[in-house]
Amino acid sequence: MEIARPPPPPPTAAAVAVAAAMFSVLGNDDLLREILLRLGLPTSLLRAALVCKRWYRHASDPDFLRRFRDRNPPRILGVYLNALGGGCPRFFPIRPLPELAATAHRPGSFFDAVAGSTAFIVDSGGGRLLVTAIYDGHGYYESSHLLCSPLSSAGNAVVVPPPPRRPPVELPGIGPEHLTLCTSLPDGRSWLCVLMGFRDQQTTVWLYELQEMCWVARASAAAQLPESPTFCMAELFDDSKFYSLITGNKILVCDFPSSTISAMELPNGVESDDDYHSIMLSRRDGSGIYLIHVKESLLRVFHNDDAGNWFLIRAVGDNAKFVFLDMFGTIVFLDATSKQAEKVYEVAPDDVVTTVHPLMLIWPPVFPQLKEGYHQQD
Amino acid sequence: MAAPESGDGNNGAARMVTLISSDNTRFEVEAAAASLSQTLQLTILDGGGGGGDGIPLPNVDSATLSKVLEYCIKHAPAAANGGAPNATAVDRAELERFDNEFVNIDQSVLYSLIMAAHNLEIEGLQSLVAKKVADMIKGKSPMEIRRTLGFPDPTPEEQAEMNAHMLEYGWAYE
Repeated sequence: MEIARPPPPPPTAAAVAVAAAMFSVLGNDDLLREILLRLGLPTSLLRAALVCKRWYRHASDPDFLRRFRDRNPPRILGVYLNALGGGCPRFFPIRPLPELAATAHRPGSFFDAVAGSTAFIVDSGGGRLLVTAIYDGHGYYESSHLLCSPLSSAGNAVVVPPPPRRPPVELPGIGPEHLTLCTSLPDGRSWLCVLMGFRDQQTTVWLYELQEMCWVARASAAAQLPESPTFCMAELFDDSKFYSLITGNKILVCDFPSSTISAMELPNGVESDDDYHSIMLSRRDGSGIYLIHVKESLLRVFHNDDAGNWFLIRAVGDNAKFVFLDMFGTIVFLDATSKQAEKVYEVAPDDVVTTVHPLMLIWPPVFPQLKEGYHQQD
Repeated sequence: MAAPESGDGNNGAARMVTLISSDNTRFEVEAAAASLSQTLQLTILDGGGGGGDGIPLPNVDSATLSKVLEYCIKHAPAAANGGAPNATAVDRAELERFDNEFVNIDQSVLYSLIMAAHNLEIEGLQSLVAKKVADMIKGKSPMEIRRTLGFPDPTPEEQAEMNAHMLEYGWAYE
């Protein structure tokens, strides 16, 4: 009971009736969830969670969040472009929404603090970035690795140890040609690093995960391949697999639970071009991957099954739902669902864009910890 | 809607059923439209609601029921086509225009509709009205949401905690 505050004006009969109707609707758990489910953006859901304790409980329930994500797939906010040479990545918003104006403003100014130095994005995952910054350390160059959250109000950047450069065991013959790739699982919370080494016919792959600010070896896989893979231009994980496009138009599949490596054929009629820019791999919910192939003006999307067969698909699911294309010096965003394209950036003649890293709205939302007794009444 | 009592539509006229609101108003409507309600569908399939009987709906008043039936009559043809996979873009645009107009109503009517759609299990209408409330909430701060929906004002302590969270999670609230 509030005693100190002046009493509100007596409500009209109509207002009382509306309030009663409102409480019967919003007091029904099923109806409340159906409403919250349709809020669209996780930012709106977070705000609604603070209306009262009951709303908070529903909005933060894991089952509800799964349904919310199915209905409202993670949204792209924009894209960072890494440039060749010095400088910092530049951000370009994609299809900005007025409701997200303030949120989408942050990534644009994120690198302003280090303007003048050199930084590039290794990979992006969800709303986070793994960044390598290079600076002049009195005559020689030093680099540091940062895990950045450009969407947070504090503009968070945490220094992380450099990704491992050498295999956990010394293998004679595995020299400087081994290769390190860093990538993130889609939620942006798990960061993984893959180290690949070759010796004679033997290919070995080690998987590391960033845990408590350390790269911890998690698994490895090895195989005798008929030919040594010499390039890997595309790479990704689903839960337990690592895929990499290698020479000879094959995809190397490392399965860590079983410690095996196998080579998968590309779909019929698909070949990578000389600089490996015509094929992209994309994660797919559940299992398997999408393969996106561009040949002249034809863009095709395939997915695979467990038996290694490829299917050309027309309806693209959650994951391969957009692609970035480099068309005649213009970076173009193509929404695979609506088939609408949008110009992102026109590359100037003296400019080179090396890689493109989408930034997504954070998912799942991070709910605040509530104090006991918060909004008990409702 | 004064169709003749023609049995089960044997002569080609659509079969009609009668629904009776909580305040005893009788509504005669095509069975196909009333069958959008999962709750009514079985009764109607069993032959109920015809003749002089009528199906009583003790939870729905006449004002709400007439609004519900307006929705059902408009959506029945598309629903009969199995969700209208072969509907033209014009048909779909017309339904969308109707839906937008349909939920442009007072909050008290909206809440009554939500309860009716829920009790009668009319899937499309449930979705439409839930979406409408969600749209009223979208982009608003927790405090604005409470005001919009007519919640009582929070105590100063509640207000303070709300503000603290909004600072802490600034990215979500600006």
